[in-house]
Amino acid sequence: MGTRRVRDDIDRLLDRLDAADGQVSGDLAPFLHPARVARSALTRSVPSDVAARHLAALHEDRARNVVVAPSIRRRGMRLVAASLAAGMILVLGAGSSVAASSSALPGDALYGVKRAVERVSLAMHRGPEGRAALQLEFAQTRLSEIREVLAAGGNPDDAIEGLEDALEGAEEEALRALALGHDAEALLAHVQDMISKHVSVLTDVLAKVPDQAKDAIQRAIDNAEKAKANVQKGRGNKPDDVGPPDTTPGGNEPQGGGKN
Amino acid sequence: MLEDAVARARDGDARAFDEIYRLLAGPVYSYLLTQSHRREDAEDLTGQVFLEAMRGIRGFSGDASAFKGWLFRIAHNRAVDLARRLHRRPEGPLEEAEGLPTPLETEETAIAGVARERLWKAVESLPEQQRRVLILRLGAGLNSREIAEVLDKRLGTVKALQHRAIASLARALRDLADATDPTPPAL
Repeated sequence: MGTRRVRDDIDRLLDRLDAADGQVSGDLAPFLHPARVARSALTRSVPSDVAARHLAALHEDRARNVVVAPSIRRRGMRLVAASLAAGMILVLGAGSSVAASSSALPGDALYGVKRAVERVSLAMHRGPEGRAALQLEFAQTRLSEIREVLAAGGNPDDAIEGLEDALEGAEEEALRALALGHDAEALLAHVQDMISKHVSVLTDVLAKVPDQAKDAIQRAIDNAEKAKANVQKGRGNKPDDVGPPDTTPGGNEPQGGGKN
Repeated sequence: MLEDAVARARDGDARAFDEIYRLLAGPVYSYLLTQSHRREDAEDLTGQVFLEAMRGIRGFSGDASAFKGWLFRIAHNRAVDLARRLHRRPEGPLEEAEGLPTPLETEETAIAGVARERLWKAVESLPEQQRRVLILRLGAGLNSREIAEVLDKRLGTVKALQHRAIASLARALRDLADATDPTPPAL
């Protein structure tokens, strides 16, 4: 039997593995059983609880995916923006509001959509490594928002609070990876490094902001430092020694964790 | 069934994407398990893949087969992203994905203990391209044309790779086949 013909025959055999009983002989017979064994071992189903979680997140994302409008940041334009967005629902339908909301700032009509999309993304993840990486992405986004809001003369409190939540969330997830016995050293180091960078940027921002914003920025710096210290402590402990972030008597650990 | 669901999802039928998920989540998850090697990662990536596909389906054009190719390309890209993010190589020991739910109980009962371990080792020992084709073919349930699309290879190349993969696997599993198949192959 020619090589090409054998390849074509094997291809057909794999197409009808379930129906091949008693119909395979000669040169193809040796391949049937190994193919079935391999298929059996390589095929898995999504656990039902995971599938339910995925479907719920897909539904939530669809429900949020209803508005399309450019980011309009001036407060005086909010009503116009809302009306425009409502009109565009009819014209464009669902489909691109997620992308449109990505540039929204605190106070914008689409800022709630933006944060909701982030929550959906987080809900899609169960693994602490993936959740930590997402929280760091959110922290970066919040930092950009703080800068933009300050540059526009706005109030950055929502973004500052979101930054604190995201950094604490990253810290908690990194420590959870460690507590679960994962090889988390690289993750912990990365989270610690990223928190340091955020502190550095916030310190720079602190020197330039008006007095009314200084307290919130300083609080964010303090909490980020505590999160970094917690991660450092985790790196020095064995997995079994890792407890909740605020268990050390007399320590400076942050109270509570990420709220995203 | 898939073609109809894809067409309806593209037209904005919200329920259609649920159908797509139910039809293809298992194959995508199976593929991602072999790429990420940790159950939690595979679960997360599966959710991400379908979220990304749902958000982008309006821009997709093609039949059911093309849709599967598109979906699995997303899956592969996300697995590569994760590996980079966690400083892991895309493919590592398959044994780490063990201890999972078993959907094919009737055949599953034929593969136990040492036999399963032997299978993992046999699959792992295949050259990367053969292994990837085998996983997409038998784990994810794609046909050879769909695999050619996912991997951007010619159909003849995919058939050659799957031929060599199955032949290698048959040789490696000969003892297992002797023990479990009533008509053992004569290789």
